[in-house]
Amino acid sequence: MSDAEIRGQDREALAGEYVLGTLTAEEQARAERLMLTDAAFRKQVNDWRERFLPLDEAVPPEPVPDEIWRRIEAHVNTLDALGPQGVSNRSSGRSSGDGAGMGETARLISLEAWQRRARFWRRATVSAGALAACLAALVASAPPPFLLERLGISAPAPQRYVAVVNRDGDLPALLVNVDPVAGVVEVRSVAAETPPDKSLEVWYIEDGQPQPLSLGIVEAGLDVTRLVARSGEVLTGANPLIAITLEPLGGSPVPGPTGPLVYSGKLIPVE
Amino acid sequence: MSHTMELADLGGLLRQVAAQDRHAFKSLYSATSAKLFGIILRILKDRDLASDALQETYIKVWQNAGTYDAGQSRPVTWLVAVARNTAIDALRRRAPSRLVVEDEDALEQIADPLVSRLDPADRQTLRGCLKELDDVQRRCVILAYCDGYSRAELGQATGRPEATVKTWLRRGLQRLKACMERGL
Repeated sequence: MSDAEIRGQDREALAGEYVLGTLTAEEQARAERLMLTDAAFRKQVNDWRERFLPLDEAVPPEPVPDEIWRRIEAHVNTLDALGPQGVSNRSSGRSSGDGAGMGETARLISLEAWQRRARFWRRATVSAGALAACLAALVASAPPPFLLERLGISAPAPQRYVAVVNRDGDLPALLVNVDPVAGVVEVRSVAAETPPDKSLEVWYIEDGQPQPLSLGIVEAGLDVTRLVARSGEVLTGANPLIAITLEPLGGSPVPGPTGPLVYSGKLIPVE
Repeated sequence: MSHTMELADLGGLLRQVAAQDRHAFKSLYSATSAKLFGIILRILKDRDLASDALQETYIKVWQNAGTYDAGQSRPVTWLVAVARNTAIDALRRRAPSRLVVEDEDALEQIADPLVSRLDPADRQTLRGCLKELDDVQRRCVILAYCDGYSRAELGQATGRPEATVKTWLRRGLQRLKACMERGL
């Protein structure tokens, strides 16, 4: 059935069930399409929201853990730092025309996604279906010792940190070794691909940080790039991450990243 | 923060948030997050999932405040819609549908106290009109709206086909609208 064929009573039912949340994915997409193009339908939806709102107003407020605001703030900081180009999907995907639609998240490389992934692995309770739905997010996984050995990073000293930097659970693209005491960051290229006219820039991110910290550029063609991190700049906060963005040759022209995030990984202490 | 959802100038705050005002964003969060968390938690029934959905809600608010149209809806309605849609989206992403199937008794328990908790003053219309629905219509509408039940889950809960549930929901909505318009 085309949108034009949805007549009076059907439209009313579609608007009502959209607000109830009982439409199938296909019907929901149709409703959100109509909301984009049809002011009368938007009004029908809003009228249903107003009718049902007392059921929400009747819900007692629930104290929110302090941690949530910190996560939101960190996420917004990352958004700001990444800039509009860092938001990969802002205008695509389903949209309801009033910013309140379902599925209407800007799917960016987010702290939230990383944190959710980390929780996923800890709890391991999410099904394969949910896993597929999370593929927009990035994997942060601990490197198995045998892999480290094969890649020549055996027996690192205590207080070192390593990140296996990859994309969507692919094989590692880079291994990043951080020694915060010595201030040395070693980036070992495993399978990272760099277009000839671009540079891969390495960023350090942690909770509460105003914006990602650039650690430098991955030297194209070298197996190992050594970068410097000033003491006290890295590994001072929670949830340390390494992120790699694609930048103009020579690196981002501004203090924060400008290009898309291509790889990421969580920094974990190495025993 | 002394703001509450009722007292804060949510429309003004949303305008400032649209201009990427961090201070206004914090005020908006302080005024609304506990209420939205309650609504999200009722749908998701899991604190971790609800926390993620609340975070996602405010990221959407931060990014989409500019698309909020004051001529079209009240700020509270828009904020609640963002929260509800995020929660329902998160619920539907979980596969398969929830394992806990409510029986008739559970339906009874959930549906009725909720209706009686409505603020009686200006909520007479919704309350009265929900009571006018057939029992099964009312329960399905309330379980869908408040607890995020899908048609399939309502079908499981009632032991009836989805098509029947759809008819109940649509007839219930139709009668609800007619009744509420009479009451205005």
